[in-house]
Amino acid sequence: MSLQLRLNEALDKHGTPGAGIAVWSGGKLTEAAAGVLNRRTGVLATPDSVFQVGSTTKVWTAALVLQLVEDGLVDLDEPVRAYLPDFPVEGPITVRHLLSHSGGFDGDLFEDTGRGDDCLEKFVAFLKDAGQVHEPGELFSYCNAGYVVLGALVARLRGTTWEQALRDRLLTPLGATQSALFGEEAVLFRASAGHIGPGQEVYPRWQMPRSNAPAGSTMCLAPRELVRFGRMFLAGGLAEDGTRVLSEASVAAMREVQIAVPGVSGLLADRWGLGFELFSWGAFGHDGGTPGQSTFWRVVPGSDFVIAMSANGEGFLGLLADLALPIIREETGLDVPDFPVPGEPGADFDPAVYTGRYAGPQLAYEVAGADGGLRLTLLPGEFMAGMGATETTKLYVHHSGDSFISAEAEDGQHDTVTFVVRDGRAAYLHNGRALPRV
Amino acid sequence: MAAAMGHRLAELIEQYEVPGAALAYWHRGELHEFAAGVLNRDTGVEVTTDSLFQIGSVTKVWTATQLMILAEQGRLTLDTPVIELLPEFKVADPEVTRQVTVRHLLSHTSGIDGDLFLDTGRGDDCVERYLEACATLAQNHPLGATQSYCNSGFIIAGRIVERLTGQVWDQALREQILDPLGLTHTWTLPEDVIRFRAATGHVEGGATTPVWGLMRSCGPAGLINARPADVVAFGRSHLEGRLLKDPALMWEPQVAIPDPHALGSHWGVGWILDEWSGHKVVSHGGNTIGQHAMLWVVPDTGTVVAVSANGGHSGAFTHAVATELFAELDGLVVRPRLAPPAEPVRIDPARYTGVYERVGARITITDGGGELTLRMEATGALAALQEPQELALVPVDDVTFVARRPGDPDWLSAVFYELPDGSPYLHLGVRATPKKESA
Repeated sequence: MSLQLRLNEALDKHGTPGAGIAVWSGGKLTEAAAGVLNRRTGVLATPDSVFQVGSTTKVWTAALVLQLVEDGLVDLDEPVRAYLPDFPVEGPITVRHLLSHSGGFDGDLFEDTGRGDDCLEKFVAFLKDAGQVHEPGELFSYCNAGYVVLGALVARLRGTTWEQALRDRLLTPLGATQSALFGEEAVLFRASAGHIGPGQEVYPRWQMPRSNAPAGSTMCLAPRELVRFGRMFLAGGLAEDGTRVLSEASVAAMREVQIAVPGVSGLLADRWGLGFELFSWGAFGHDGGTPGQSTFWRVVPGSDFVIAMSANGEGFLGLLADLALPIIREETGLDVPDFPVPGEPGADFDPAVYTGRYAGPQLAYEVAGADGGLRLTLLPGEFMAGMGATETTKLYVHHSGDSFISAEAEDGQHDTVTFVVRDGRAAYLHNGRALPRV
Repeated sequence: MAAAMGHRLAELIEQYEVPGAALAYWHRGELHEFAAGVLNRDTGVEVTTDSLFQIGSVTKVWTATQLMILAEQGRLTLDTPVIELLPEFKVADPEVTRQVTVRHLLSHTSGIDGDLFLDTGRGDDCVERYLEACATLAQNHPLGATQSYCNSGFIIAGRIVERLTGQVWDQALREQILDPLGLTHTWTLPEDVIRFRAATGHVEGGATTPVWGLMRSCGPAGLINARPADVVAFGRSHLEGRLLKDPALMWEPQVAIPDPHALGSHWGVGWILDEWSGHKVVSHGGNTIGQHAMLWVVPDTGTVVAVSANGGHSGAFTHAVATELFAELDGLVVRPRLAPPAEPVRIDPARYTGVYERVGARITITDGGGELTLRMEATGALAALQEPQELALVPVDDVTFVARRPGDPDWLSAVFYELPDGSPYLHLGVRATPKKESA
């Protein structure tokens, strides 16, 4: 069946408003798009259409930092403050820590510091009140704010905005034409809007604040441009036309393991490089999400294979399970694991190790003991509530070690959480972010 | 008419090489909406009646309305000096700095250089920073002496709105006009516009513009995006007194336009005034990067028409739409575009030749053996970007001339005139340019 028919079918099955997919395999690009970009306008998705690619942007920001290393302007193991004297977070936090999400300060801060070119500087200043989650380098905890700091560092050292550096040093040399960093650029293309909630309504705020742009709040790409970026890594840093974008050393460094991610590997990798998620089944890549839009991106170095898929509403995990993962298996022959599912009741565990309350800037969990597992109550903060999250209580059964998995599937998938245990007691609930016990 | 207009709009966009257009009109208590063509030739997305177009300088009437709302609230009068409202306000001439009033700004009579297009960033401080840059603006003519189209004056006016409301211009516009009128398809920032079907401009030759819109600092002078039905609703509000107790005050003539053939005979407060078949017409147009819009209101008949187009011979197109539509709806004869007279007119070339110059523009009139040639060139920052243009001037009477750009269906008009003090001026493109030297 053609990619187009498979996408049509998957979209129908999962109720997703619209999606685009691009696959590089066997030396050629195959693309498909289906559904609508915006349910209100009814404009149809095409392979040219741009979607918000969310946190896949972090790999672009990481590449800009590696270019600074190549130019001798940054040493990854120097403190961030050596380059950004105004960086207000205490502690020996290095550039490498930020690239590998181990800086240890609150990462989910989405302060809107305006539309102006000074928004990153203002965001960095805002971090003076960021709480410490762990010691620098001690733990992986997904850190959006750290990538904003990296974007500010790029802007400062290049003497321009993060957007202009990205345009001049990556998008243009790569030949990525279907790309937009501002609304006034995206409006020139067919551009996707996010849809949220049970009615899959268009999310009223099309774009998140520019102050989070280097972490992924603004960039829009057609799936083929993520494939193009991925192929540059496969080509050791060369663009399609032979232009050198990154050194071979930078490409290698970005794929080198920096830190392990606590927990059960699924959509999230179990290890992180410099920017890249490193999947033990043989790929690297990144995913991204903005309100109502999602992107999946994997590069398989052994198979000259890249896949990128974006969608603009519910059913994204279903599209991954039914379309993206099977395509990777077919094209690469790799044994790509399914997302985790609850197994047979395993070893005994002591709920008292885990019960309590854990909190981050955007949400908190209340953990109580339950028959066969734990009962987790998610308490969304203002930002998540605004995106439609409500207080929910779910049963998680024991998975392995200090990891638990939701008993009920959502969107066909089971959520996992892992506890980081210190001296016989859970110090953190880890769901990609480390939420300290409070 | 209504059904026929749908077909007619499609024919007219073809005739005038317009990629896409949308039309809305209010007539005898009913709204009619039409759309034709594509929003963007690259994407091929079709125009719908809900599509947003850049309405450009039609925005100036909205900004003027904001100031009149504040005037009715007793916060200012038309004769309040700008410096009383914005103590930091400054232009190059200290007397103008002290004396220029809100009325001067809203009727394009301040004489302040109006064509400063300065990018002061995407931030909420962009209008404030623009005002700072006005400190060096020179005069095209003495304060109040004539009319010369002034974008900068409307940005200064926008800053007055910001100061008095304590809000950025965009937000004040929302609270003063958009929300009270319930306008759901009117937005100023691209991240809002993109949630709707939105037009892209097309340049000569039909390609899409590389840049979608103007810099944000131009907001109060021209950054509204709206569907035509919302523009019509705004026009109606001036007939029905929904925003202002006395909207007709804005139709009082403030100044005669020296060249009455281009846009209208007089400028009111924000509005351009004219008369068709003995009926007052108030209107405004707008041009942005490859997009054009028009709004006409006829108070006597209550008819309101708004039309937008995204390229091609868009000015001739909207004029053709108005001509057909107003004849049909109200039996009005739209003022035809000026064209060369049937019988050639004899003139004395020496009376006109010379160099006319204002900030950013030099116009040279030369005599080529009894026929006048107009040479327009940008000076200053834009000099390198714009090719000088030379056009033959055809006399219509002893002060009025027309010229036509190659390939254009319509003629431009130009009027030679004198200020009350006797100084010679050329009025071209609704701007006044003083004569610097005779040939």
